[in-house]
Amino acid sequence: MILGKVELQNVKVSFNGETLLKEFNLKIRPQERVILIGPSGQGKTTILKVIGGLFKPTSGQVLIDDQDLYQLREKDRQLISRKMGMLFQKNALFDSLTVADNIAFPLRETTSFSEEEIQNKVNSFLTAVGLDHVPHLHPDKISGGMQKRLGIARALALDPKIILYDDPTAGLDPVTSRKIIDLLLSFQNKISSTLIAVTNDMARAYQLAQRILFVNETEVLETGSPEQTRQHENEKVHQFVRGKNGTTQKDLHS
Amino acid sequence: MVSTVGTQIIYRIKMVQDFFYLLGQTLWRTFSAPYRPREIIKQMEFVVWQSLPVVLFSVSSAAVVTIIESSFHMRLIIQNDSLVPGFAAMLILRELGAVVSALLVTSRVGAGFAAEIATMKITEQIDALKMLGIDPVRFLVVPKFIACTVGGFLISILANMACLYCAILVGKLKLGHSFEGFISSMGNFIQFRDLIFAAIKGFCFGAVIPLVSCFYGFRCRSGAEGVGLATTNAVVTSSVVIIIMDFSLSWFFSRYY
Repeated sequence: MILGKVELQNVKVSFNGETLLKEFNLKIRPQERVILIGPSGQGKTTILKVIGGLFKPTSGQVLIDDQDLYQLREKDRQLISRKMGMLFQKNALFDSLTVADNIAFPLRETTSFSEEEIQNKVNSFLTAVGLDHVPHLHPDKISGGMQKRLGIARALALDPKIILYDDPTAGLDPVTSRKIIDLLLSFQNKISSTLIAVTNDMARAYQLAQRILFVNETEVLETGSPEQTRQHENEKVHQFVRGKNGTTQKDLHS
Repeated sequence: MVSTVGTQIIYRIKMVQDFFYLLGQTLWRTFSAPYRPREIIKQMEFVVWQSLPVVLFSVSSAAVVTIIESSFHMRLIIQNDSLVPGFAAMLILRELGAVVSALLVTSRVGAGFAAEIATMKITEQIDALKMLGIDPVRFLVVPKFIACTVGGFLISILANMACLYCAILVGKLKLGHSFEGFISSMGNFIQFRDLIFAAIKGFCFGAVIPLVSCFYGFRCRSGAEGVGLATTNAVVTSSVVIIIMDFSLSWFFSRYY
């Protein structure tokens, strides 16, 4: 039984000899909503992949409900993975499957549900994410917003206790972004899961977060609640949340 | 310069290690449940049924050319071509049928496998499988491996039969050998075990194709160029490994001739 507690102890990530993330610690309580913000290419997605078991850190431990994810046997790790859901930045939908089959796929492959139960679950997800009118289309035939919603439905199909969202509103218009965030919040309330998300959209981060982490230049800095993050005294956090890059008007004219 | 060479050597050693790791994982999962029979049948259709027309046409054409050329040269040198059926049958069973069909399957099936896995890799579908607690090797590689090994075995037998049939046909229609004479001459040179050895070769070549193709697919790094490179590497490496394996198997089987 997975509760959704996530703990990263002295985790350091390097790739090809280059440090991506300096040693850091992170504790996330069950059902907490934590958002990672920061400039692009600073390692936010890497943190999600480390938590998801997709990228082994160079050193340190990743504990999911006090079990060291990377020390577990392959089978045990797969069991934990089934209790984690992930929405990828580019959705990673199975392009050879239809919309309905993308949701049904994890249920068919990893559970012992009957086909009727699977169909019922798929239909309820399709209705919940507003895709019940396109179940037979393939992912490349639906819009970006619909693909995001399909990705969310697939990530939630196995009732995960930890959900990882990699930039859930990337490339979407503000109205669709808002709808997606509302959808994430409603699902999180419904299934009482831990939510860890990456976003660069501060409005959505404030809407979604209970706690915010700022990832920049290989360091992970905890900035607190949305209100504390707005008032944060760190110059780089300050500039990022206000959408400034540290360049003054004077610099631009000189 | 030295450090570049050193890095390359370490990279190659690591690559070979990774390949044998994939081989071990695949073999372990091939002999342990659960299986995906529907996917295996689907892959069998792709590997055997859809490859057969091109394989049979190509190897039969190669067999026809071989027998006509052999006849021409034998007539030129020893003034008769009575040994052609036997030589042609031996050449077909020991080399042509298995190797040419394996190379054709590599270019068709191997390229398809590598492109499929590479595309899944760069679009994070492999990561998505892992996040759903699904083992990509069991899910993607094992059905292809089973289909290709069984398929390689079958294709090799069918290709050899087709080649022999075409050889007999050309022998009768073009070279003037009677059906009985051709069979009798063949019987002096080849035995049933030659067909078994050819099938074993097909089985081994069939095992190489999905392993090498999936290996390069999983290693694909980025973009459309990466997919193209993975596909090229898969086809080239599979072909080279098949040639090397053919040499080794022929040498091994030669003890039993």
